[in-house]
Amino acid sequence: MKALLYLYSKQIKNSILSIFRSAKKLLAVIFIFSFIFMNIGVSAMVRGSKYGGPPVRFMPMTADTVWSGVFLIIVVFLARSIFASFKEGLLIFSPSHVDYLFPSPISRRSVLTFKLLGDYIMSFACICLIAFFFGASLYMQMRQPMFPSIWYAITAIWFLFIFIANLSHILRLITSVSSDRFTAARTAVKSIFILIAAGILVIAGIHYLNSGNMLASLSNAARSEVSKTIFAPIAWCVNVVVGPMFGVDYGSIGGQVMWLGMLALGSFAVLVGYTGKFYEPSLAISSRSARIREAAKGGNFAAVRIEAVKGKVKDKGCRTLLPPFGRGAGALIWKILIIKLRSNGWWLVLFLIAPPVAAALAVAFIKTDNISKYLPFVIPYATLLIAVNPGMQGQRNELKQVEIIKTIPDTPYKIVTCLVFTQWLFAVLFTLICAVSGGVIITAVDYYLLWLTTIATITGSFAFISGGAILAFLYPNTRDKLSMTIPGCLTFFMIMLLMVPSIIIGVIAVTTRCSLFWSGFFLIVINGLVGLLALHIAGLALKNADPNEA
Amino acid sequence: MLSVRKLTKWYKTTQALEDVSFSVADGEIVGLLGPNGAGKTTTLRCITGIVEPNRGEVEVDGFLLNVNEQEVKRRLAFVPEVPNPYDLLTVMEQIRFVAMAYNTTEAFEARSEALLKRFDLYDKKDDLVLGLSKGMKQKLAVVCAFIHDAKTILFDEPLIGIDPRGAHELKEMILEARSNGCSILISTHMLDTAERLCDRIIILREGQKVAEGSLTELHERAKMGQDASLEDVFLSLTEADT
Repeated sequence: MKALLYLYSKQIKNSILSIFRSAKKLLAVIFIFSFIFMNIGVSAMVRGSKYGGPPVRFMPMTADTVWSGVFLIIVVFLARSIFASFKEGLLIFSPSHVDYLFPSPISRRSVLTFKLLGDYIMSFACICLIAFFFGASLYMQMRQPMFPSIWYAITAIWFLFIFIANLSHILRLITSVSSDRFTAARTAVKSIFILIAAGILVIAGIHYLNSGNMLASLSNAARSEVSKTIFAPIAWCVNVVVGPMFGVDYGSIGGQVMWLGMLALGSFAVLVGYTGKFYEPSLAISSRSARIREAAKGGNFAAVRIEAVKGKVKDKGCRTLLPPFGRGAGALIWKILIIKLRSNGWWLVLFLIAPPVAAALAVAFIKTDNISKYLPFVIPYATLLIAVNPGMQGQRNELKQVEIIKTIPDTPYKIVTCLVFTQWLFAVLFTLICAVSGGVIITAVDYYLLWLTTIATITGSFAFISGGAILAFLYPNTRDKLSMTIPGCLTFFMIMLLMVPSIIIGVIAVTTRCSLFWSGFFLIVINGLVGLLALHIAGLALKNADPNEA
Repeated sequence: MLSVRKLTKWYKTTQALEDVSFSVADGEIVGLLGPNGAGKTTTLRCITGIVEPNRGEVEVDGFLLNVNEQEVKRRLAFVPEVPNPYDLLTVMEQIRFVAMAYNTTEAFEARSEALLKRFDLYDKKDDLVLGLSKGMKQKLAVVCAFIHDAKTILFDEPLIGIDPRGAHELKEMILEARSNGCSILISTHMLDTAERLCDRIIILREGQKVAEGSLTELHERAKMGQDASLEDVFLSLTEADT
């Protein structure tokens, strides 16, 4: 016990000290916290003033729709955790724990207790960070006081997270025992889950046949007594989180938080009381996770993907489809494309098929005026999520492989340009597929707005991905979890900052109904200049990059 | 004294070990050889309790692993193949943590300093592990194994990545540990090292023990003359059926 306390306290101390020892890490942390506190402060001031305007309504959504949406998202998360526990589980130990804790005479129960408590504290910190960052704006828009309801929400989410994680760990430990009895139990739990999901879909289907409204039917199924009873803990958590948005009774949500707390505590007690052996069940997922982390640290996002889908990756004639091309830095383009083809087959299918399918579904299920209003704004978000974010991650890890990249006989600027260009290519393709699908399938769309957001997304993506290249060099990935949050937060803020010119141009263009040619021209010039400047700085950063710093 | 009896381990449908039995006496060095995937690391992981065997027993100094797990582990030290000390501890903190985990903090300072100096790590004692090279991490793993009074020491490829001086020191320490009565089991691919260091050799192939004995006995088993190297014997015994 003493040894574990020593281990964890020293790791936390050294992690914090490492931030103070590095000026650039410290600056980044100050920037991130200033941003969050400024966000909270400004939100509080606007909430308190009389100039804020009326509360924002949630588009066409009612309290019930929001409740159902959050409920269904958590049910999917629960299902994912349960099914993961049948495969490899979620009890992940670091390679250092495997090498130094598992063979040591420290009792298994102490090892598990400390590991779980560490995970709980980390999850609490993450939930707080996200809740305060997004919560500040949300409460401001609703003109609702943030405190104390945000504390209730954070506590409820945290307790539910602990309960679901513990449930998954318990299932994993029990079902990892290879015996016919446990195999039967595993099949039974899986079957029950599938039956429940099927039951909810049947309820939704019956409602849909009567009402013809898909969203209302799903919402109805989620709010049915059957769902609320089977997934009672999730329903309590959603009540606590969504309650303050639509008027809150602290007495009732306080009771629900208490029930969730008891579930979290009870499941923790069951887990640490488990007398069986858990080292081996957690070994497979721990080793796999370590390999993935090592691949990421080593600098190749493709390697991470390959580790994640190991055993499933096959060439399937990729080289015939994409024969080698390029010289010098240009060869990098072929290398990235061929690896993407090999390891991201399903992602590419989603990439090509999802936009037309989503457009067709939108036409079938959503009111026409809502589509025409919101579709143009969906394109930038979808592109950020599906193409820009993975592209930046991929590029980040490609750029981290500086030992190889720096030895390519070409200028740093050209190397960075080739890397950025390949990732940007996917963003351009995806945006165009979205825009064309929207334009062709949804005929009621506002074409001016559609093409304006398309141009903004394409040019903006170039600026984001180029900016991401600079951050990749300045804040390379590390094994230290605390330090790893820095690049993530900075990338998020950078995207928000680089969005500003496009938003300003877009607002001016829409209000003045300025011609598409001129607004497009300004978007291309501004984002192009920002992107080129970022490329130039990234080139300099590559020149000075030190592989030992990672 | 380490005894392994009828150790059997399956991974889903793959049999990693099948009825493997051997023992390592006090003051003896035994080499565990075999091609990739033969079951060497699984054997070591079963002995350290990281992996549960489906069948069989591990006994250290009269204590059975599945009955007195903590007593067995207190008497064991393990040097893994890939060194993974805690990145966010300093070198000294890593060693102190291991000493605390094994409850042997007496004379810790003097002992750790001597070991660090022996492996040229003394100047790095206040550096974070994060900044160490792979070879230095391997040396640190060795230091951690010798920081407590282990009666049985298990090495998984201990010499990989260590510089010649460090390798020499390690070999010296292994020999010293033997003279102090420790039981030592070394899993390695370095046949010349095994030939020079080990009193007995065990050869595994596809999870089964195919040969065991001193070098002379292995020569006889492989029907080779005494002038044949361990490499010739190893190749002969592991490729007999292929």
